[in-house]
Amino acid sequence: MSMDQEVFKALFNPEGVVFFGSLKGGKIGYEILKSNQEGGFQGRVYPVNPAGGDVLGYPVFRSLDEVPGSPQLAVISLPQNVIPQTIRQCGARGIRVAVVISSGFSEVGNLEAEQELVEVAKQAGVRIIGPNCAGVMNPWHHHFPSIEVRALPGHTAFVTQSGALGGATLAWAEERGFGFSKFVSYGNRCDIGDAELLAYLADDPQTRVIAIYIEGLDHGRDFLRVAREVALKKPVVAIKSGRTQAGTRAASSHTGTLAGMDQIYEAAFRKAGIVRVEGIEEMFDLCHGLSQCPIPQGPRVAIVTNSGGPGILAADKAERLGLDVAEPSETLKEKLKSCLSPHASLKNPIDLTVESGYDEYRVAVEQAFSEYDAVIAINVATPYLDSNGIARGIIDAAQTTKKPALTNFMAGRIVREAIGLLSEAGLLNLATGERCAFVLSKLVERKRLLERIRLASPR
Amino acid sequence: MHPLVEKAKQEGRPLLEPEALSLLNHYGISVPEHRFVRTEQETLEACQDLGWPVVMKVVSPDVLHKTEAGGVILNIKNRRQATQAFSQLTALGKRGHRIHGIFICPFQSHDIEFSAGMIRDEQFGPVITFGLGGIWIEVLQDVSFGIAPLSQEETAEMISSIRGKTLLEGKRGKKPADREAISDLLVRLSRMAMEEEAIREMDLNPIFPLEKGVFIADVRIIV
Repeated sequence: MSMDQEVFKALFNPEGVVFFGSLKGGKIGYEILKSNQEGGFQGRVYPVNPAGGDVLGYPVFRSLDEVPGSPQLAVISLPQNVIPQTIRQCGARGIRVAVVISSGFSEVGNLEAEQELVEVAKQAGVRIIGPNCAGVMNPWHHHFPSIEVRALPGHTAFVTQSGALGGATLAWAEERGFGFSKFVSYGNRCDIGDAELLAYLADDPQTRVIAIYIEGLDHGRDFLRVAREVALKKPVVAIKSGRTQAGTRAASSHTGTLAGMDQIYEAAFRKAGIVRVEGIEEMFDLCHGLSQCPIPQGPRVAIVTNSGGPGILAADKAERLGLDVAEPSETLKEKLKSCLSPHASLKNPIDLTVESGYDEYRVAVEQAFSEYDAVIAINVATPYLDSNGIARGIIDAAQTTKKPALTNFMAGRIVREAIGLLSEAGLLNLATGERCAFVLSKLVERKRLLERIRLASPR
Repeated sequence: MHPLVEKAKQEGRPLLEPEALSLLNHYGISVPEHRFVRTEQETLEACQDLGWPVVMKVVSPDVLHKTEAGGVILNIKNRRQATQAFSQLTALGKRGHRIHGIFICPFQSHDIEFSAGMIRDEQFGPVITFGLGGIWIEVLQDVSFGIAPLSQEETAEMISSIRGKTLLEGKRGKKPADREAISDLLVRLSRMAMEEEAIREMDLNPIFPLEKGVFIADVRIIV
């Protein structure tokens, strides 16, 4: 095992973890320990505090020297001034990685303390996540050394520069039943950063999609190089915040004064094959889509609906996002005409009308796949409509192809069961047809990005 | 490092116009035919050689903003105007500017102007830009960005992503621009930016799109 692999194994799949911090109820050290216990961590747990005694059923060790065995990970929520000596002890004990939750470093202007931490860690041979972070999680290992809501197991890895935003995202995801493969809040990022994490996650078997929230990067060029390789293996979705900083650059040319930071990040993401989104909601939709939907071969989408309005909204949005919402060919129209209601509208959207059920949806979706790259199937339900039948029709049609079918069943209680069927069948259902169009447009964008990266000369 | 870049860096000044064109040429970018002259006699010969009309620009390490300083004279149509332009440009020397000589190239004018450039970003290194040119670059800020080095596919996408791209399609009976040549120019600029690390910024503005190739009407390279 290489040094890096050993570090990441210790970080995400440790067999023994040392917890340094205050173990009184309500203190961060205690809360982390409690959350980790409630999450069902199976490895050995070693709380360390000079007071000794016991906490949450674990004996408390007075110092690291008293801890038996060979723990691999340290989780530290001690005051900033005692952290360097703790890191030295960890290094001497063979602990290769520490998650430093504590604040009081560069984020409050204490650059000396952070520099000292970096140097001590380097000497001690200990890699650092943090400081000033919300911790890490591996739900698949029931490993939750973090102050945030425990993530459900899933297939999206989430790396965040902001701990608070990360925490809010996890809380929201829990509500929606959305799971994660890994969670990392790296805070001040004094050591382990985006590039290394991406490289690890690219080969992590539980991770299908990587989502990152960045405010700014430290080693942009390294990040680009790694991200390009990673993006060929797995989709990377990024949210980049941060005010435009045009004008802060010392520039004497026109070009220089024009370049906003944001546009440069945009260009960098494009180059790396990273799909950029505007906010958390879009990120969820897209991570869902990327982990579930096949990648479309092109931008042609058919919108199949039983109601005009929502179908047209979806079509408008799709068109605005650069998807091709062309009408069906005459051949396809003929085929559809023979098996659909005489009132059906055979343009795009293909409006099956409200009298349609299993058969109409199955035929329309299956036929649409014969000349479109993707289908958005919309069901605007009424209580008397057989939404489960419609769902089955779409599911059966989708199983005949490797192209993506996105669904929008609206709304509320009357479609809940049908949405359950869709989700069991691995189909993505979103709250509106517009959101389906958005996800689809980004899937198409990812396909184009991949082609471009493959075409570009390697360097 | 290219010797011209090294020299400019040592002397702490931007590249002079003939140097800049020579550097572009070294990286396979086709530049307008041009002459560098020192006397009135040489000026007239050069104009005759290049064919009227011409542009004359002062070549001076002390004049960074040539147009503002009166160091650029456009659309010179005959010997009389050339002689007059020569005196006007050499007169800039009286204001304490060191004058190396005069740069002359054919005069072209187009109603469509584009621009290309390079800046160095702290995080991502050389960034290539493409956009509308002339004053439009400032007014409309219609610019696209690409991180060097760039492939032909990437630069084609940069060209397609500006709002003013329809201007390249040839409206009102005009022939469409040579997009491949623009794309190639951006690729080569990106290569140059990777190689010549001492170059801090570049401005190629305006650039006229031609039916075949492009005409780079002004270059500024800052080291």
